[in-house]
Amino acid sequence: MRDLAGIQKDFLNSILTGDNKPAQPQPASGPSEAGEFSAAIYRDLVATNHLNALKDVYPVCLRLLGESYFSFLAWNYLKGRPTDDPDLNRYGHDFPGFLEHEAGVREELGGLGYLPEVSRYEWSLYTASRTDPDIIPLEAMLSKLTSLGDEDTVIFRINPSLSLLKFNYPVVRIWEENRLPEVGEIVLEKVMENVVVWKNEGDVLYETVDDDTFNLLKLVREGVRLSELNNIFADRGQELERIVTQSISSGWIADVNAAGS
Amino acid sequence: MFVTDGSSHAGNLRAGIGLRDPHLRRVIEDKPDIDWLEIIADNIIDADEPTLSRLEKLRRDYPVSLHSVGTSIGSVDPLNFDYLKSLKRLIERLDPFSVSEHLCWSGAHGVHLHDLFPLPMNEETVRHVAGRVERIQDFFGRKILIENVSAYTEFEESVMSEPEFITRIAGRSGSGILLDVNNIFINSYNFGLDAVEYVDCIPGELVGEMHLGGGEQRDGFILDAHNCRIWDEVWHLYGHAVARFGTVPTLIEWDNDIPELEVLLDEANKANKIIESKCGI
Repeated sequence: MRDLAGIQKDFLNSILTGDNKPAQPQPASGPSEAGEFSAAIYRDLVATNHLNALKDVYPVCLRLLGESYFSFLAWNYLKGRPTDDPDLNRYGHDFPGFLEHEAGVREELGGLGYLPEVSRYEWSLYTASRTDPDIIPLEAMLSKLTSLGDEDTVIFRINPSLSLLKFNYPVVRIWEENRLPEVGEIVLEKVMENVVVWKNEGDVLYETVDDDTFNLLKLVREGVRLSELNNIFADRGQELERIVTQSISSGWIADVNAAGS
Repeated sequence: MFVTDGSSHAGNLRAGIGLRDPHLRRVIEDKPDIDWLEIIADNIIDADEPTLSRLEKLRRDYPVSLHSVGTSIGSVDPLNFDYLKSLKRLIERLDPFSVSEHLCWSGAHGVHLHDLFPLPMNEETVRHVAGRVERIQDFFGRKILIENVSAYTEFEESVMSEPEFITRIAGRSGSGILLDVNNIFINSYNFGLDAVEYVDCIPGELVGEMHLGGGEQRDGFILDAHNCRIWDEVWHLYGHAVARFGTVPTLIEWDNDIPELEVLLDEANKANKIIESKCGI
């Protein structure tokens, strides 16, 4: 007789091995008499559950790959990179890495070099949608900034929903065109694109930004103080002011405080 | 009636509904006439302060139960205390009248598959699960309810009936039972058991909540789909359970293809009428 650990190991193996072809055999008298039938039921439930979770997060990847191939990859992802996280809402966080790996080994994905970047973009949109950032209004933040005075201690707090993404393809355009029923024409030349994804006042937003803005937001996220930012932008004070003002008014910067407070 | 703890109890609550995204705004604004709401803990496990504050406000208008799906009580892996800490935070914020989890496992050996798998029903499992339920209750500082799950397989290592299995775990751990009447019906159909006998084997004093939901007929078995109205056979079994256990908070479960709020309220009214007729309220 198997112990509980052995039973659970066998059960998981029976689910995660074999093809995910939803088997619908007719059992003679209930599933208990047909082990493979039971495994097929659970395999189908598990596969469908995780496939639907990925579809919710990656709708444009789904369109780019097609239902059938997306399902095939989703099943391989589940088998190849099973998670130990009990929260299904976080499932698929490393799907972009999986797609990047698959793109390197599967010939049929050769024409979809931008797919891993599109998936990273979709994960950022998804995580932003699940965040409810607390952002203080522009006027209040400017007033707080003035009252803090000493720039050596001033530290900005980045919007927790914000993602900073660097792309080699025009990912935003690809995503915008492919989420609509009619796919427009996309020029797929390689470009360098900096994209910010964030949530503000209940809306998930995205914007392409220049290198200076992108780099400043990275520094803010790392907790760099205002005095250091001033040093980095030493001969371009007006540029720093422009970016900080834009970052505050856009909701990329959520708050400002004295360091250590 | 089973009381979950000293400070927060179910009183005479009758039928409640699950608080799901499509109905959230209407429930907050219209405050429909319903005894209580169920909140799935896993849907708000990472909730920010604004979301929790909204739910706390709603909590002033409705008693809530907190139901989770991710504890994997029957797993051989160690308990996930990061997850349990998140649940405890929600319990402290929402003060639910009941906290419940499934008598199942969802993963083991470092893999979590987000489904509710049945357990082999034997002494080893009773000892293992009861010990884990005790640890969870100690950590939460309150009792929990454990729910019977639907199943599509049996294990040759099982040596006891399902009602005996759940009753022994509840008795040994000091937990209560969340009796899912639909799951009793489904398992009885899938494995050729007597559903009424199952209900009759459960000690009434352990039952702290009941669940009702819709199933889906598949080839040779019924799937616990939660995507339709409750079957007539399940209403009938529920009537028998109410006659035996009295007024117990009863949830109308509907998690897929979620209909208009009125449909859920209509199902809740049906449950209330059964309670009224069986309990003479």
